[in-house]
Amino acid sequence: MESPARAAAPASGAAAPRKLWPGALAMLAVPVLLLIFGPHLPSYPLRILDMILLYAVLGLGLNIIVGYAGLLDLGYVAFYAIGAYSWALLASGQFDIHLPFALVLLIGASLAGLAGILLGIPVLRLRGDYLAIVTLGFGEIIRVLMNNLDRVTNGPQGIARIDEAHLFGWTLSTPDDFLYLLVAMLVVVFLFVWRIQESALGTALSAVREDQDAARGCGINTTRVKLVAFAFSAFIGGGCGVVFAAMQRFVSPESFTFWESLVIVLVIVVGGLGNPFGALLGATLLILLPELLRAYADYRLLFYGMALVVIILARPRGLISRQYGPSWLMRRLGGGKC
Amino acid sequence: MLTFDHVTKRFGELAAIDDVSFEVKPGIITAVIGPNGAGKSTLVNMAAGSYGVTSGRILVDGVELQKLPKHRIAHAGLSRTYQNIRLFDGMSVVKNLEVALVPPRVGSLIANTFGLSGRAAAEERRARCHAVLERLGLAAHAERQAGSLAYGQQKLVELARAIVAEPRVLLLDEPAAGLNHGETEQLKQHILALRSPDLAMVLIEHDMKLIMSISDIIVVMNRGQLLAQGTAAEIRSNTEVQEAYLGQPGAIKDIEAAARGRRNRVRLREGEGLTWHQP
Amino acid sequence: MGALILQQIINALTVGSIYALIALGYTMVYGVLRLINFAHSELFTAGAFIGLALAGALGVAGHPTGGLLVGFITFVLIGLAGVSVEIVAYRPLRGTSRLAPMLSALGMAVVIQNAVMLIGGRRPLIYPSFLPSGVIDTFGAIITYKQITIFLVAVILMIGLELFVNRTNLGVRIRAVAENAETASLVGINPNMAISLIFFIGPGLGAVAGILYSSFYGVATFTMGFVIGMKAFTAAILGGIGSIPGAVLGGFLLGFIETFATAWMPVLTGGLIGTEYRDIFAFSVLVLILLFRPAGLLGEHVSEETMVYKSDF
Ligand SMILES: Nc1ncnc2c1ncn2[C@@H]1O[C@H](COP(=O)(O)OP(=O)(O)OP(=O)(O)O)[C@@H](O)[C@H]1O
Ligand SMILES: [Mg+2]
Repeated sequence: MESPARAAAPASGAAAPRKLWPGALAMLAVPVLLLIFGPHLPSYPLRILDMILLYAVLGLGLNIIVGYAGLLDLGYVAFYAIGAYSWALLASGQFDIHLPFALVLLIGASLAGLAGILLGIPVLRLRGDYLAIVTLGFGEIIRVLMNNLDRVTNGPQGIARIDEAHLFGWTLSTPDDFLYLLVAMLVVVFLFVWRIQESALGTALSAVREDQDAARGCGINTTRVKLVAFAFSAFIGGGCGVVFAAMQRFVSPESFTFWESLVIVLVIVVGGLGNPFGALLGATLLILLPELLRAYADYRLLFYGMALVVIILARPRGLISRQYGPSWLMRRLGGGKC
Repeated sequence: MLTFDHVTKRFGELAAIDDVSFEVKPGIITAVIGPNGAGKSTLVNMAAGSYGVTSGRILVDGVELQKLPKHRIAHAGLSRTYQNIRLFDGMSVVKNLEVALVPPRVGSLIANTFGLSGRAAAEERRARCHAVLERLGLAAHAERQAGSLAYGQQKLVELARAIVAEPRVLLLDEPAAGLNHGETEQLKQHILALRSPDLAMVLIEHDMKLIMSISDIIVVMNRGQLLAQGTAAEIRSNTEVQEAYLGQPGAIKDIEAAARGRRNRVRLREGEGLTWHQP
Repeated sequence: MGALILQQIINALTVGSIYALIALGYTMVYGVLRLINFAHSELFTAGAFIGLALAGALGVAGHPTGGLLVGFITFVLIGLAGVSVEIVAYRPLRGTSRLAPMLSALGMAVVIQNAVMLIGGRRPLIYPSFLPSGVIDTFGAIITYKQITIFLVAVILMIGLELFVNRTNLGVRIRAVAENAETASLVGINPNMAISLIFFIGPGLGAVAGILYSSFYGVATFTMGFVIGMKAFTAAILGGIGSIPGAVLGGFLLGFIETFATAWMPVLTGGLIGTEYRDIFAFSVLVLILLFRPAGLLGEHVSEETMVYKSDF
C-alpha cells in the first residue's frame, strides 16, 4: 500500500534500491570467501589475515568518531588496551580468575565504553579540537598505568600464560579459529556501523561534523550524540582488545603505544574517512605493506607519516570516498538511482 | 506567538539591542527592517540561542527561550535561517532536512540504531523531507550535495530545512539577499504560501519592495532601538520614521540603497568563497 | 623544609621556563589557525639535535658564548623549517575541514620525528651543555648556573616576543590576523605573511627550548618531544589558548604543579602514588581545566557569539 506521503515524494527513488539481494550477495561474498579459503592458508599468512581483520574492525570502530563525527581521537589504543587487559586479568593466573570469554568480551568492551564516556564528558561539550589532545594524553596515561601498576598489570613484563578462550564450547586457539571469530566480528561491526550511518544518529553525527552550531540550531543535542558516538567507538575498541589478548595470550604495554593509534587512524584515512569499505581496504594495505617491506622496517613510520600528509593533501577523501559506501553499492547493484 | 520583552544585548560598550519589546503574532508576516548594524540579526540570534541575552526575556507561547539550552529552543518550535548560509555542505540536500527531524531523545536514537524501533518513523521523516523539497521545487536536487548547489538554491534549502520540522516560529534572516529578480519573486510566493494560523513569521529584509508587498506588520529598528511598528502603509507615511531614520525624509529610499549595497556584498563574498581561509 | 620548598620552586621555574617557551608556539598557531600543530614538539626535538650537530661542526660544545651562536643559528633553521611545514602541509588545507590540517600536522610530526631518528640514531645521545656550570648555595637550596641561565634566556625571549608583538608594526599585523583574518585582509594585511611569521617564531622558540632542555638533562632522544609537547600544549590551554601571556603563565604554573605534585604525592599517599606518575599530573590538570575553566586562565571564552561575529562581519 502506498502511503499518501510517499505518493507525494516521487523523487525518493534514491532512498532504497529496488532489489536487495545483488548488493547483499556482493558484500557477503567477502566473508564467505574468507571463510572458505582462509583456513587453508599456511600459518604465517593466516596470522596476517587475522591481523588485517582485527585492524579492519578497529578501523570501523574508530571511524564512528573520526569519520562520522569528524573528531580526532589519537588515543584509540587506550580502549584497545583496556579490553586486552580485561582478558589478561580476568582469565589468567594473575589473580587466578578464569571468566568465560563471552563474558569478558562484554566486560572489556563495556569498560572501554565507560572509559570513553568518562573521558568524553569534560571534552565533548566543548568546541574546538581538545579531543585530539585529551585522547593523546589518555593513551599515554593508560600506558603509564600499565607500566607502573606492577601488582596488577605486572608492569613492563606484561602478563603471560593467559587462558585459552572458549566460546560456547568451541576452543579458540589456532589462527583459523580466530579467523572465524574475526570474520563474525567484522560482519557484526560492519552491519552496526552501517546502521549508524543510515540511522538518525548518523545524520546527527554528520551534522555535527559539518557545522556544530547549525546542528544545535536544528535541535541536535550535540554533546550527547558525540558522547554516544565516542562510547560506541570505545566499546568496539575494547572488544577488539579482548580478542587481541586472547589471540596472543600475552599482553604487555609495548603493544599499546601511540603508534598503534596512529596506524588505526591511518587505516581509515587511507581507506576513506567515514566509509566502512575504506576501513577494510585501509587495514589490508597497512598490514600487508610493512610485511612486504620488511627490509625497510626502519623507514616504516617515516613512510606512514609521509603517507598521511600526502593522502590528506592529494586525496583527502582517501581511496574510497565517503559516498561510495555500502548503501551506494546496494543501490548500484540493486537498481534505483545513485 | 513570539514575544520580546524588554530585551537588551550588549557587546562590551555597544548596546546592539537596547530595551526592545514587541510581539510577533501567528498567522501574519512580521517584517523587521533597519539599516546595517541596526540589530536585526542580533534579535534572531538571541531568540535562536546563538547569542546570550543581557537582560529581558524572549518567549514562545510563554516559554522563556533564553533559559533553554540551544537545541531545546528548536524543540520548542523555533527555527531560523542564517544571514550567511549555513548548510551542512557535505551532506545531501535531503539529509540536510532530516537533521531538523532527528528525534530529540538520545535513547530513541540508540534504540533506533540497533534496529529496535523507528523504521516506520524514519520512513515518515524521509517522506516529510521530500514533501517539503517538492513544495519548494527542489525535488530534483534531493540527493545532491548541498554545498554543490547554486547560491539561490542553497538559500531555498535553508528555508526548507527551517520549515520541515513545522515550527511555530520561523525567523528568516535576509532570505532574499543575493537573489536575482526571478528568484526573489519565487521566494515571495513560497513565503506567502507558508502563512498559516499556527505560524508566527519574522522576515528580516532590506528589499523594500518585497517587504512592502508581503508583510502585514513592519517593525523598524535603528541602532538597537525599536523605532516604530505598524502596517506597510503606516510605516510608509510615518514621517517620524523617515526623519529619525538618517535624519531626513525620503529615508526609505536609503534603506533600499542599503539593500542594494548588501546584495552586492553577498555576491562578492560568494565569489570569494566566504572565508579568508582561501589563499 | 624551607630549603626543600625553595629547591622545588627553583626546579619548577626551570621546567616551567621550558614549557612556557614551547607553549608559545602552540598558542600562537592555535590563536591564528585554530590548529593543533603536532609538528611543533618534533621541531623542539629537531632543534636540540641541530644544536648538537652545530656544536660539533663549530667546535663550541660546552662554551656558553658558542651556545649563543648555536642557539641563534638553530632558531633560524628551525624557524625556516616551521615556515616550510606550514606552506607545504597546512596552507593547502586551509578552509577545508578542521580534521584535515590536524591529520596533516600529525603526519608531519611523525615524519620529523623519524627523520631525526634516522639521522641521529635511536639511542639517547649525550648532550654537551651549552650552559655555564657552577652552583649557588642559598639557604640550603642549590641553584645551578644552568637553571639560572635557562630561566634568564626564557625570560629574555618572552620579553622580546612581547615587545615584538605589541610594539612593532609586524607584531600588530600578527595580532590583527589572529583577531580576525578576514577584516585584516580587508585593510591590506596579507594573512599569509603573518602566518609565516608565526611559524617562524614559534618553532624557533621551541628549538631554543630544545637546546636548553637537552643541555640541562645532558641527553637528547628522538622521542623526547612527544610528552613534553603534550605538556606544553596543556600549559597553553591552562593559560588560555591563543593568549601569549597565558602561555607563559600556563607554562610556569604547570611547572609548579608538576614539580610539587611529583614531590609531595608520594609523601601524602604513603608511597602509593610515586614519581613515575609525573605525567599523570599534567594530564589531570588538562582534564580539570577543561571541566571547570575551558577558556583557561587568561583566555577569552570562545563562544558561538564570537564565532558568528568572526564569520559574519
Ligand atoms: N557577536 C558579536 N560580537 C560583537 N558585536 C556584535 C556581534 N554581533 C553583532 N554585533 C554588533 O551588533 C550590531 C548589530 O548587529 P546585527 O548583526 O544585529 O545587525 P543587522 O541589523 O543584522 O545588520 P545587517 O543589515 O548588516 O545584517 C552591530 O554593530 C554589530 O557589529
Ligand atoms: Mg543582519
